[in-house]
Amino acid sequence: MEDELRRKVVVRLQNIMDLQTTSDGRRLRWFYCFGTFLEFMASRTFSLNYDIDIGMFYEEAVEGQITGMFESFGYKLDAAVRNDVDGKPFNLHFRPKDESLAGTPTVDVFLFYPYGGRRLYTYDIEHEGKERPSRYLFKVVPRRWLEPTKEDVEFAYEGASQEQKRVLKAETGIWRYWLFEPQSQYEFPVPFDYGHLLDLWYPGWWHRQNYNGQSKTLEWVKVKSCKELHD
Amino acid sequence: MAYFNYERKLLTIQDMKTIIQCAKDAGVYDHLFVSFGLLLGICREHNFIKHDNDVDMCLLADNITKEQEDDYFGALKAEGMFQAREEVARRRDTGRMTWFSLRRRADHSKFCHWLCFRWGGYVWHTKSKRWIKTSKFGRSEIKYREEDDAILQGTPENYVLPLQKCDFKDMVISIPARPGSVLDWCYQGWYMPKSGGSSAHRALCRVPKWSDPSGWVVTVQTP
Repeated sequence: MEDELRRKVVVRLQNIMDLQTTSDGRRLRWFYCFGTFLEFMASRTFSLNYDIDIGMFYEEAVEGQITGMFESFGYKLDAAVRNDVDGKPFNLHFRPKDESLAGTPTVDVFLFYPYGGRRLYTYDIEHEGKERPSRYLFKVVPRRWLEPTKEDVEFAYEGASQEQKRVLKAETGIWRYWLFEPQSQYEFPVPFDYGHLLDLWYPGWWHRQNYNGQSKTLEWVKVKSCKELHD
Repeated sequence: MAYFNYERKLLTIQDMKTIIQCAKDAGVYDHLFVSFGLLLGICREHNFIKHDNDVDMCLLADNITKEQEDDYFGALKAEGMFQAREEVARRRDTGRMTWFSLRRRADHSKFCHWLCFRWGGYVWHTKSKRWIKTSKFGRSEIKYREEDDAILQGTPENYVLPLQKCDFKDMVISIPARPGSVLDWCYQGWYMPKSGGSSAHRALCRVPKWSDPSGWVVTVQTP
């Protein structure tokens, strides 16, 4: 039963994300991140014990499309953290609404904001419960770990096995690993340099038993208003 | 057939314990660390990788003296660790080891020791002479000449240092500071098991003369 529910959640999220396009009609780049990503990498599982974290890129996101897709697949928007300049979200929190998803975790969508050679992300870090917090605290990720160059992907392809080539998507630089069994329809997208991200977000990740906890950052960007976000 | 079956794992753990004890006796234990295939096994499977066929250990040699190096080698020898295999590569100028390989008995695992050193922001290791297939270095071909002293392979220093301790099979052994970054560097896409294949050659250094670092030529595949 638990296994059936897990498959149901994964396939729903896959549909929700894969059916979206960017504002100019390209395929949306998305991946699992933070605790969900950590659990998969460290224990090779996807459980329903923790909130599910999904990442995408700020400039590719169309909010109406994201919320519309989540709603049509049985979720309800519960909370958000937004840019105080243009109202676009940095973080969207969805709660299961359908009876068939009862007891399954909430889903957090993180929209990674481009900031020179870095990407910023935030959520309700100070538990203010406001869409526009009194100050913005952003955590930082080197951009290239999420968005490899064409040369980075080509280099990875050169050294990859046939199976690895099947899961590395050249157009997005995202690895889409199989979940539950090899070559299954259930996929688990992870960012390109996932080892670097594990080291950054969760030092000691290889022996962790618990997949809760805040992601670590080496650097913070703190602004009163997003007007102050300059490269 | 898997190389690391149950019996071989037990023998390998026993040999690793001996190696650790020898390192402690020679005062080099804190500079001994696991990398490459065994690091991948520890991080990905919390075990040896079934299809791997050796164990890679690294020793940060610029933190230890020639006497400690010799003591360590001598202690391993006294424990009978070289009975089935003994191969050594040395620097032509100083005579210090850059690599050695041992096997206790024919049914035991081979252990490679890489005596690494820091230089120019990387931690380098080598068997000294031609030992890397340059075809694996992608588009940036590195010119290796027969008269060169060595060709080195590097890992960014901040991925490796400072070392950290790790529990593995009832042993405490050091691993690099950022193991995930080392694995991305050496085995991009490492989450999915892949049979065979050595680590990627992203940073190579051609050493015309050991004694003249100003003439060493570094080529890095990706920044």
